[in-house]
Amino acid sequence: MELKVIATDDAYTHLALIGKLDILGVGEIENKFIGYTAARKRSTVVDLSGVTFMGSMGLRIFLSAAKALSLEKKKLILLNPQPLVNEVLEGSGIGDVVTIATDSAAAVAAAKE
Amino acid sequence: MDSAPDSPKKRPGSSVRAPLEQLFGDEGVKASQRVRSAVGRQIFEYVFEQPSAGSKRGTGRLLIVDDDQLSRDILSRNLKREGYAVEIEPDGKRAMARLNEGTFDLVLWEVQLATLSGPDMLRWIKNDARLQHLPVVLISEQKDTDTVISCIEAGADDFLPRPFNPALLKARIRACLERKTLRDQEQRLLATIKSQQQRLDGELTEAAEYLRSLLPAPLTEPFAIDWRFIPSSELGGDAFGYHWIDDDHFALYLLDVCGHGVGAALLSVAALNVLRSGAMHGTDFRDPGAVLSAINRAFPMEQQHNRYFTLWYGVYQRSRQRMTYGSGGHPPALLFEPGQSAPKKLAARGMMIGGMPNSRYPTLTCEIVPGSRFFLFCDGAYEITQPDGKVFTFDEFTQLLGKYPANSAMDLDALVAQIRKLRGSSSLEDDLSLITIQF
Repeated sequence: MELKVIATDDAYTHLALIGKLDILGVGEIENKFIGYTAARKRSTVVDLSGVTFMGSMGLRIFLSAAKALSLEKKKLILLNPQPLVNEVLEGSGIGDVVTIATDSAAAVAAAKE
Repeated sequence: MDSAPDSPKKRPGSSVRAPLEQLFGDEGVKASQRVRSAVGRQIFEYVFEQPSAGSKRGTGRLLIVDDDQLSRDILSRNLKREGYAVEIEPDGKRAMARLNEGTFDLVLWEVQLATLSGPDMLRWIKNDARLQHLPVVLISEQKDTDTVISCIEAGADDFLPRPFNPALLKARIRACLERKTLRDQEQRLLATIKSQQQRLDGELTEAAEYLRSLLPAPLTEPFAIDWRFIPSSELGGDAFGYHWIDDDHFALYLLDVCGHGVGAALLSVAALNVLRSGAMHGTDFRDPGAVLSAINRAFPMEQQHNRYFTLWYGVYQRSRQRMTYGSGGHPPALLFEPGQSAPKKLAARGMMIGGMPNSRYPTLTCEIVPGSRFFLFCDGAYEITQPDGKVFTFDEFTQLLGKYPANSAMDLDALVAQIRKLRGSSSLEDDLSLITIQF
């Protein structure tokens, strides 16, 4: 599992995840992900186009980050999930606290609002 | 310390041995041995009686096995002076009997011992579980090199060539005993770990049995319910149940705590017991939305070690032949109706339980046609990574279930076998729970 930092500035954070978000994958990136989201306290766009699998532990890190950011009135935007991953996100009900987007420019603009 | 007796030129008796033997044959050999012993005794005693100044006292119980009295006496005195408890034994078989008492820390063995040679002794010791870690130091003549090599390959720890070099003797015995001490500590540690592992395994088994004891028995009346539960580790994060709330309403639920193992199992048991006992004051357990909302408030993830769970909760009303249901982030249940190839998805929107405190959970309704077959399962039933890396999908799993049409014989074991076959292994990545009802 890989976490890439696409961009960071005072307004937002743009990350990309690549690989399988199963228990092992989450373990590899969890601390770093929390550092770039909940600890940095900026609205965050996470590009999920490189994520091939999403397990329950993967949902947990998004939920935790989204809740922490919402306390700061910031957003977590999940960008371009693959169909299988999107199915898991939709089914989980996590859409109540995160935004799922398919347009990168619009997602970045929303994060910078 | 100078190794005075180490030089072949100074070897005890060597200067007189050859002429005596040549001159007097067997009698000469005996005379030669007597002379050699007398000279050797003087030289060894001169060297070994020198005090071992400034060194640490040795500790440990040693057995010297040598049929040469001079050799073992000198060795014994020297080692006693270093602080070791030393015993001597000239006979190999008696020595083995004494070693079997298990009280020695090291044995020094004459490699060419007439009653039991070094190689034979090593075969014996290394095949004995109690003795195989006992350090063995061989006592040898310089000419015994080939035998010594074969003995070291067979497991001997070291060797001491005659004539003895006192410094070498001291260093080798100490090194062997230190290795034994470390090995003994390692063995004690391994025994402790093994004992703790056995205790933990016992506790995990007991916990798994407890969790399994909470699961309901299959039913045959008024409809047939069967299930399979296969945790991926000793303890799973899945749990499920069903029971009659009253004469008309039958509750059915399956929950899946994120992750698996002990932490997940503890939360799943806590939540399951709440559902089984109906222990949420003021909640109508016939209303799935109300149950999901109440249990979501009762188990916020921040108070559950940051764990949430998914839950599908349904209530079958017998008099009206309908199912009301709701879901907290759980995969849809499937209903295969007689004569229909595609199943109905009993899906409902709703946040994972414990995710957000004020989440809302709608109650949906589905008519149950007699003869329908219903499936409720966790994501571990279909999120299977196949040997080629491809993940089995929900839709593919739906097609697999479609091979068991409504009102046909249902073989859950065959279904589980097919899931394992997809995985290409008998072990599963995630817990697998699957309930089926034949209405």
